[in-house]
Amino acid sequence: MGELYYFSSSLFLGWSIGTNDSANVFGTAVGSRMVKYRTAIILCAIFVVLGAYLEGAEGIKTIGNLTGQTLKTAFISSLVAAITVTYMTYLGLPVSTSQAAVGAILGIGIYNHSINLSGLTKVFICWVGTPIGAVISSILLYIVIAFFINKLHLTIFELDFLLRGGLVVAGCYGAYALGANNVANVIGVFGNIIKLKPEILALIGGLSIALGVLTYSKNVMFTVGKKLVPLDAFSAFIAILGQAITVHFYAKVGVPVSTSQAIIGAVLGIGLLKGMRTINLKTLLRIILGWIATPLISGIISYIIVLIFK
Amino acid sequence: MKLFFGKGKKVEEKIYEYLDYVIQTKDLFYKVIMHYLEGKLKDNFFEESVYSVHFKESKADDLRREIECELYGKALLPEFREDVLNLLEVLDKLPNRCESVLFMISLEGIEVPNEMKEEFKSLIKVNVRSIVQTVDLVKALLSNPENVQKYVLIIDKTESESDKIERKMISELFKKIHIEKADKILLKDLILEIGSISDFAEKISDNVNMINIKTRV
Repeated sequence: MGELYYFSSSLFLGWSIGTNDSANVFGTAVGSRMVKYRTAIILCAIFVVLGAYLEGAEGIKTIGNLTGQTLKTAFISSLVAAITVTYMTYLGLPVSTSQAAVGAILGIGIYNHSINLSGLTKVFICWVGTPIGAVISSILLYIVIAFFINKLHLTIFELDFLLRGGLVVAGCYGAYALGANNVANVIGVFGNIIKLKPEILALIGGLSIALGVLTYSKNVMFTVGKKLVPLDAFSAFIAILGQAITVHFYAKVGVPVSTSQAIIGAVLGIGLLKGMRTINLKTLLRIILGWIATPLISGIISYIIVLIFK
Repeated sequence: MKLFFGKGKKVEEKIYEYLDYVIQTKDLFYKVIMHYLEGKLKDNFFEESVYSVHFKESKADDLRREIECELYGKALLPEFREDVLNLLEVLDKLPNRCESVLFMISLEGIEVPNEMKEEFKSLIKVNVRSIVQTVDLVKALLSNPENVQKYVLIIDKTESESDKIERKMISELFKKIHIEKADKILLKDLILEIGSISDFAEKISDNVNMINIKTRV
């Protein structure tokens, strides 16, 4: 029962991932009213849980091995990550849950003098690699899929059907990748503390993300959807697929990354290919700032809290 | 085998149905106007047939509105929805022009001088042909997009042919035909109204061409 209490901050973090990040996978389809909100959240919740359960264990190991943790410090780092995410979202600043979670864990690791440097390097490389990987995957996907679609000489109704289906499938895959990758942010910190199988931990984390998707994702989904809608349906489909492949790749590597930064990278890739300016310099600077500011803020807060309550 | 089903399929079927109405209106229009050019303006068949064309045109209108409702009910992605709505809007001009030509003749009591009847027949034939070509073009868009370009070129040629006939007829009307000036103006308007059928056919072909290009990603 006591363990459950310590778990609550993680579940809160999972819930906030669900409320925010589901927009990156289903926002376009819902914002342009191609898929009903209700259908989108049900599909999203199912695939998030599946992704977390089937492929979330690897990331849980990475995060669990990043620093030495106790039940109390794990509770604090999850709570700080959740507070950082909520506060930065409230301020309208770009925020990645992965970066907030890792920052909070590191704050405690610095206090305890127990940081796994090779694990940390791996995490930083993956963060930088996320938008870059999404740029490359979206460019490659665009070229290959466009080639085959053009070969088929589809009618307008056939292309419409294909793209609608594609957006739903890519959304489901994106939700699966989100669950597989981001569940480590939710529950990874407890990986080496709680005596449960990683799959069961992943399932609990996945369910908390799904709960966020089902209860409070509407506003963000419509807002993000409208931001991405100026893309044509094919580009939106490629952007979501490119993002999902990138995030899934990092789930396999075992490092939780930002789905928001992945979708920005994917949109940038399409813009580069089509000679369009889809992302401005300000957005890119915000990503780079996010890499530094988010872990720094959550790291400092968790360090201070551990210092106060030691 | 078609690759799709659902709401899109329903809209596609209705567009085919709409194209049938366009052809039926064209057939009736051709029959009536040829009857008129035989000099039978005042008989019952002409007047009744004008209203039959009007009836067909409004049936086509009703069907178009039904398709529009389906489209507003999210039967297509927004970027395609707009294009199909625009296409239907301009496609509707074809039965609409057929109706308005007949109403012009009926309401204004226009009489074609004997010297011009053959040229009127040629003009009608060319413009009626442009309707058939347009329907074939839209069908190609819905079933065989590779043929769209071929029909676009054919329609462009037909429109130029109609323009040429119109200019020649108007020139002859004012130079060689000895009737009241007011009657000449009425006839000129009638020539332009008939010619507008192929003008709209060309506009439709531009729209279809654009849609076809957009289906290339």
